[in-house]
Amino acid sequence: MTATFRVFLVAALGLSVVLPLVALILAAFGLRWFFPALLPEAWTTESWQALSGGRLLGALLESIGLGVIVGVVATLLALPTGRTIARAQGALQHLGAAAAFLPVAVPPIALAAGLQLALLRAGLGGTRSGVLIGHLIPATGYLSLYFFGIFRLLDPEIEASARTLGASRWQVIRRVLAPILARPVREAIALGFLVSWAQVPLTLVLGGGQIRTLATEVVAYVQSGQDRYAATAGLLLAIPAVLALAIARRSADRTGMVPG
Amino acid sequence: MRSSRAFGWLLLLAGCGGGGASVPDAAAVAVQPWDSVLASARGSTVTWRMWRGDPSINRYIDDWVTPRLLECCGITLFPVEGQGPDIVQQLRLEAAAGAAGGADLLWINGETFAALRRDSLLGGPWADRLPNARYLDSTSTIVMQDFEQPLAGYESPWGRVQFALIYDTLRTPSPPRTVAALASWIEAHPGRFTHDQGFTGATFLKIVLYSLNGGVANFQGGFDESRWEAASSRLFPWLETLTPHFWRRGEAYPLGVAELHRLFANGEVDFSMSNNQNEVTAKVRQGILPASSRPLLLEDGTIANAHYLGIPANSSNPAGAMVVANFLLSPEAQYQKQRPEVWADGTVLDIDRLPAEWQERFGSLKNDPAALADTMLSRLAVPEIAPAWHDRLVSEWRRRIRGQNSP
Amino acid sequence: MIRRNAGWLTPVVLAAAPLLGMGWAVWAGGGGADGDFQIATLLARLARPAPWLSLAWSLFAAVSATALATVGAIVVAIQFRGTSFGHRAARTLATIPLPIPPIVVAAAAVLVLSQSGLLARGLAAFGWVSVPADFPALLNTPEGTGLILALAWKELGFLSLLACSIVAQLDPELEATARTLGASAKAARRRILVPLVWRGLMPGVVAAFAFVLGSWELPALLGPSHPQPLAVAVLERARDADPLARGDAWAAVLLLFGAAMTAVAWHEWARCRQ
Repeated sequence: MTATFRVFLVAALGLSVVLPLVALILAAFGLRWFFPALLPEAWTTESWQALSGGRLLGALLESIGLGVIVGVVATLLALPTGRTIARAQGALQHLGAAAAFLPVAVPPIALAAGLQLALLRAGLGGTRSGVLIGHLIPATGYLSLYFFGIFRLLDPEIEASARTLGASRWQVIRRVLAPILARPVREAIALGFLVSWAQVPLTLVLGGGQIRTLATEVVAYVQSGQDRYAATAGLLLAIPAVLALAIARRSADRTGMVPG
Repeated sequence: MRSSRAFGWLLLLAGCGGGGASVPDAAAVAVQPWDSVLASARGSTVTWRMWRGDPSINRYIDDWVTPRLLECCGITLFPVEGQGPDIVQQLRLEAAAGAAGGADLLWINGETFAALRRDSLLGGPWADRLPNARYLDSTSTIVMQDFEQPLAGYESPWGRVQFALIYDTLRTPSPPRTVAALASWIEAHPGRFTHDQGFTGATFLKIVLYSLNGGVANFQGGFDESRWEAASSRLFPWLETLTPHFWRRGEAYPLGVAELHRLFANGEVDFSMSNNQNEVTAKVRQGILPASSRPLLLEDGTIANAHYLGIPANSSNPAGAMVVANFLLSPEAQYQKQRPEVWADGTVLDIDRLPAEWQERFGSLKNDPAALADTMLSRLAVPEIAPAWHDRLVSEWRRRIRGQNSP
Repeated sequence: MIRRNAGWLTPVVLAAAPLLGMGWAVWAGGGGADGDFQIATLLARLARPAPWLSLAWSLFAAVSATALATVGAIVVAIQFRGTSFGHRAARTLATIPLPIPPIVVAAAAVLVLSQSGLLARGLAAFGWVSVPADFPALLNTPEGTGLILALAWKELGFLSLLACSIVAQLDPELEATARTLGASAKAARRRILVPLVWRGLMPGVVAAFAFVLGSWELPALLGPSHPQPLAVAVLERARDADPLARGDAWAAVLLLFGAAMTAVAWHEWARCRQ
């Protein structure tokens, strides 16, 4: 594997990122962009102006709101869960990890189909709460595995030693655990946010069309052939996600998993 | 909208399933005097499940209809995305779960109407009681029958469209104008034609079905197995001969008409199609189709149909829904809808029944020079047939042509 | 006592949701939604070839994409483990696909890879392509080339991130020792690094595979009409006017569940071996 090969590889990687990005940008600002033209016939910012009010902005706010809540709540639920699984032994630990992985591995369509009736019976069909529950399930599962990885590396003796030295439970949390967990918690929130941010099938099925997120808007635009709107919404969807990942990427290796 | 969304976040944990109080159904509301319907609708919200895939239609609804509804009748209109099969499934599930209705008004036709009626998911009758119903073109079977089903007051007409092929005058200066000519054209130009797997593609197949079997009269009066056998024995061999000359040798079909438009605009195929003959105008304006695109009606006849508004049986605000439906039926709303720069959707009103000033305004509607003359449209208009034909056609097509083993 | 067991509440709920869904799928697939549940109905549905054909094709696409992405991730992690700008740039580029939502990947893939897409237009600018039909069909084909590329690109983001972290955590002494014992750089990489990275990557590979198998957006836009990818088939059947066809959707959903649970069991086994 020579230097030339490495250069070729970097070029290929670069192309695989640049081409889609350029295509999306051209589609988002272009009017009448047909084969074989490399550039659109005319330019417009019409779809971006839709941002200043109306559907696109509403969907953006919805996605941010859902994402933040899912990130925070999933982290709150997953932290003790990950810790419990890490402390467990043998078969119990396998069961716990499998339970956490199951909602992540199950295809969202299948999960949504299963949850839909239960939520309808509970009167939560087509509501924000219903969609929130739908997002929380894979997000919590994913983050549980994340914290499982973290606590596996954490020496349980640290806590025990602090207690024998006379620290109260609250002091243990504040002085010992909090500093260690500060960064993982921040990253977990970002990861949980990402899971909700990119989610499509669960929002579509459980929201009954009434809950519009940026991701479902992209789907709607693609399906109706509104390429310009789809590209605009797509860029809006992708760029914050890349930023959120930049926060998370430093210790994503703790889980062995990062959401897709 | 945005402040109500913020408020919605505060109410989040309370959840917001539908109300449990009993609500009068649409039929009961309809027999009340219109003034009391208006009064009970004032200050309420109407959730309308409709297709939200076209920015032009959305602009008409969001920027023109919504503010006027608020002003005249105090109603807040809340459109949400929903198409035929999804609407049916949602209502079925709501009924199975005994849940309160999420929608008050539905944009439906044909297939969907049949399914909803079959499962008693629609409220009514109510549509005949709307004040603006007196302006309806009640002699037109296209408007007053939905896929050969009587409306029976369970849905109110909203607009009408007619199927057209779309071609590019620069690429195809003299396009084929009959089904037979189209078949020859396809054989002479392999790989340059296809249809989508969705509703528009199915409508195209129906037109071919009519044409190969002596016209639509053969299919009216409900579904008949023996007539289907005879008809399909002409349609499917025709398709099987031609599909090897389709785009990708007929081995792949665009998922929906949107993908077909993309193929057409980029020169991968030379024809697209639409259920609305005026869609070309809108799509050219949106920069999705080339400016040289034109609609084309096949001389064998093209399917004209209307689309409607329905009220779910479990709606929590049938009064509000009726007021909205009535507004959408008004000459003012119908005129705005038909304007080529807005939506270019045909009206369901009988112009002759309208007051003189509206007759003038409708008459002066100058459609795009690219659009088709009214006389041609009505000459070639062919009605829809019972939904069972459509279902059978689609499932047989999937099995025999696309190759997917269906039950 | 309560505090000790409270931590188990969440995993139980997490596992309960998909299991509930599976139970509902069994019931609806057997005709329960129409008021007449019979296990024979469900078995008859599962005995039809159509959903299995879809599953087989989806498996083919998922395996191909995952294999491609895994090889790519290992190559990137090992070839670019230095600290120079070029190496860091390569690692960053390889991980960018990770946070990009699948629907955006699908939309971009259509814009780039279709016969009238950006790639084809680039070639047309050089005169190598004059009509779209001259460009090879990558999308909507039974070979699934375009879909597999897009899926692999998405997985590459995730797997290369993992692989790079694994390499970063490896003991630098390992490789140095091998070199002093006389192994060439290439042999050291092949004999020591690759197996180590592969073992650490295994659980991630299973996770990526499960994700790709269940994905809907990408096969819906980029996949073939026939054979129909399983997730796409599920949605199409679920919307059918015919109640019998709708029941078929549930049988297909069960196949997806089955595949997911197999992946989960495999993931746990792989994790044990780490």
